[in-house]
Amino acid sequence: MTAFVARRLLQTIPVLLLSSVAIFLLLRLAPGDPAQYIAGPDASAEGLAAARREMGLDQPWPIQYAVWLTHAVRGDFGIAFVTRYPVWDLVLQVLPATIELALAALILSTALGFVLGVVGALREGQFVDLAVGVLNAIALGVPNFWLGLILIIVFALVLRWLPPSGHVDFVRDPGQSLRYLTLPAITLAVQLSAVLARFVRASLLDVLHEDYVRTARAKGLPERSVIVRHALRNALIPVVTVMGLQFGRLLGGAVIVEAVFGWPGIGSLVITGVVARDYTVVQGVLTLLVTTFVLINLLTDLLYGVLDPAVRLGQKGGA
Amino acid sequence: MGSLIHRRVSRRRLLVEAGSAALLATALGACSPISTQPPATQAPAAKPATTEPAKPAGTAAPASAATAAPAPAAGQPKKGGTLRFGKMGDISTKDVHQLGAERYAIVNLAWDTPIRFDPNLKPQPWLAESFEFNKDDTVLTLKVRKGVKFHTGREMTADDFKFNLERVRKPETNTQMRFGSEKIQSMELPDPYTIVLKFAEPNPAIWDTLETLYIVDKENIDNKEFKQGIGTGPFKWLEWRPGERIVFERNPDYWQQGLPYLDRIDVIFNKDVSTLSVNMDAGAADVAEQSLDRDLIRLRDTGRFQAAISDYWSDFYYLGAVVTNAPTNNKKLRQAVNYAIDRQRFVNTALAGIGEAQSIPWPKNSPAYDADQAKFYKYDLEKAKQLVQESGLSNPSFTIVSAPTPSPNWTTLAEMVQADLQKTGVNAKIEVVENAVWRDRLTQRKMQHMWVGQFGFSHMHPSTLATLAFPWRVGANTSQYESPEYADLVKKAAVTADPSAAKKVYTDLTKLILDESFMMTVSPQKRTWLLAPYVKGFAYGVGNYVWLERCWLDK
Repeated sequence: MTAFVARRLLQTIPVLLLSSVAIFLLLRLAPGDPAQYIAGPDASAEGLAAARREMGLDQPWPIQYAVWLTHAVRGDFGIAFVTRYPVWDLVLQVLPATIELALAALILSTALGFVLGVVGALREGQFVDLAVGVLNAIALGVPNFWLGLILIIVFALVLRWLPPSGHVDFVRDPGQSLRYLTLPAITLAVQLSAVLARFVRASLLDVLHEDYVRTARAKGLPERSVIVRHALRNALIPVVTVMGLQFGRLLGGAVIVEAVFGWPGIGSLVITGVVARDYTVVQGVLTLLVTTFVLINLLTDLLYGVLDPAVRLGQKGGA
Repeated sequence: MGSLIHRRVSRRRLLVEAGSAALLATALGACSPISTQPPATQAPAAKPATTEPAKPAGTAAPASAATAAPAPAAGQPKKGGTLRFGKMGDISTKDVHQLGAERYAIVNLAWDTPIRFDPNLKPQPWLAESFEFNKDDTVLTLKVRKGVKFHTGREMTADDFKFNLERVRKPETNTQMRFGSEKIQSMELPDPYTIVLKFAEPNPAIWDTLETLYIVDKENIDNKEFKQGIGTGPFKWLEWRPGERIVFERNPDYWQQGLPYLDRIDVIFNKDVSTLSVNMDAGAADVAEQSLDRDLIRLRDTGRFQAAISDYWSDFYYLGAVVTNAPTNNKKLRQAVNYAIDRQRFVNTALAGIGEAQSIPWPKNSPAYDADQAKFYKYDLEKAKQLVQESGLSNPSFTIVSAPTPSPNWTTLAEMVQADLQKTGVNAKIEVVENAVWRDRLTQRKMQHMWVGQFGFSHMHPSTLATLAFPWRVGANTSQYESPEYADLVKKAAVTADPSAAKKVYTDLTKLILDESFMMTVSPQKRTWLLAPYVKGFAYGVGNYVWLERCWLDK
């Protein structure tokens, strides 16, 4: 197990390095001058040069990258060009909102996806299964920005039950916070629950046709016990992977949903950084996101290994 | 579907599955854009007072009379409450001297200026309690109001005026106020509450500098640990959550006793202009600044909101033309384009009537405004065709650059002009680029032919426009238009204090602008605010900066 973890950890290093180079280059290659943005349209040549110097943009690209990397590996992602706040502070400022939304969406989608998937599998071929399939197809097909707008129109503008956009800190006012959280969480959860439902259903169906399930039934175990103890546990293995990947994606910022609901999360931070050509913010946040995604992937693999010893032993090549 | 997944599903398979689902969603999403055209609605007629510029001499009373409130604040003001002020986009810096177009809602909350303009552009006392020019307009003496404190508790003196005037002229400060301050030859402080500004020649435009010079705390602003803006304004900067909001709280030591009324102001940033109106409609905001014009009219007409539409025109929509590249280096072609702009249709449709078709860059309260010249370029396709023929160009073709932000109206304008130009045999191609790219091309003078945009500073002294606004700037404008006549007229406008002599200069300058057509003014972008019915005492100045020290909530 230790060797498995060590091997997977080593594999993350080139991924992180390559992605940081890609992020660095893409930002520099994009048109638009961050110094001009900071200095303003009326900056003099001296002012512009001063801004470039202060931002470190007067150095050649390899040196800029080397400086950034040496700081980044020590956890220092620099100072944002625009706000002059440390990038870490900005990330920490939006992280709670991102985690709130990601967790809420994950919990909702897991509950919904799990129930729909199990019902679909247990009623295979029946009307309920068909209905679940149609619902899933609709949920997957509806773009989440459109769904978000519809929810705003219905629940904020027509019924006036929930606020249309914004965010309130959970610690400041839990009740209000939940009201603001509801619509974006539902919007994100709908599509995610459909994905999960499909995997749960398919995985459970496969397991239900296994010999050991037939054996459990033949032994006279109650159906509930067969489903819960024998079938569901095994069926969860691929579902865990999907959930891990989706959670990583959600942490990466549900950019469009955040924009629709004015949710101040990681996605908004990245977009703001891109628009302002704030290299330090975008580099820092994207690198953190890639790292998070890689780590979640790694944890998923480890969990997969725990659930399925064959993966751990390398027989199935869980990478 | 179950057959897609086998007993031990590989992770690669799972990724493919998840990716397929995402692709399906994206593909369907791409099929559902909705576009609607607003109905033409006539906005209330605007009739701001127009007066000749007068030689000012200030008095000690604060310029509350300069306030332009959309609705009278009837009843006794109530103290307390939080105002939720929605606006588009975040601010770009904590340094008020560097704030750009995003400043309207923010600047007068935490900071004050030496003077404020009244509706006729006459300076009124503010942090400077009085001021006086000498006889030949080369020496200006300002008396600084006593007892004014920064949010740190330190008293403001004349030395703070000096520090701020010196700071804005430093190249590294990168502020538009540089040009005004650079004209000050020397500054003297005969006592802690008096500052004397000396100029080499008359400088009537100095009031523009003093009206936009937000006095910052010298002990804070250039500090490496500079965390928030500190001024003398009615509200203290409490917290900035980038991308989300800025929170201001009441300054209990504000120099105007009893003010402000509000306890707190949350300036909430919206990423999408439609969100502004949705938040208002749903009761999640108390003020929405510059929502879409059609939304403003629609919500106002429900009777549930107040609409404040400014008669002070500080910003204008325009088309710019580069005069050094073919074919827009041909003046006849540029004039043809100017005739092919259907300004009234743009105002009626894109702006829902909240605009004014005019071809000069001056608002009605500007001393340079001329009603005859304002309508010089009337929509006339026959005239445009004739000018194209006279240009000697055969099927001229060029590009108009636009950007999707800050206003969707930019591309609408470009499309309207493109369609009309086609009828005159001119082929215009529209290139929509990201705002950062648009801005880069504008400021680096990299536009190729034409572009669409907005310029500001029109509410200031006429010479200020050609000094500060990038597309107009003498010797450094995006059009690359240079002429001794233009430079001379701008220079004369800047130093001519006598009103009648100045009027002649402004007329000549306007004629030159119309003839050369390197900048084609289309319509003012009127500043608007949608207000909840309980918002009282809401006010704004001639620059359309919001004044909220007397704002209160009647609920």
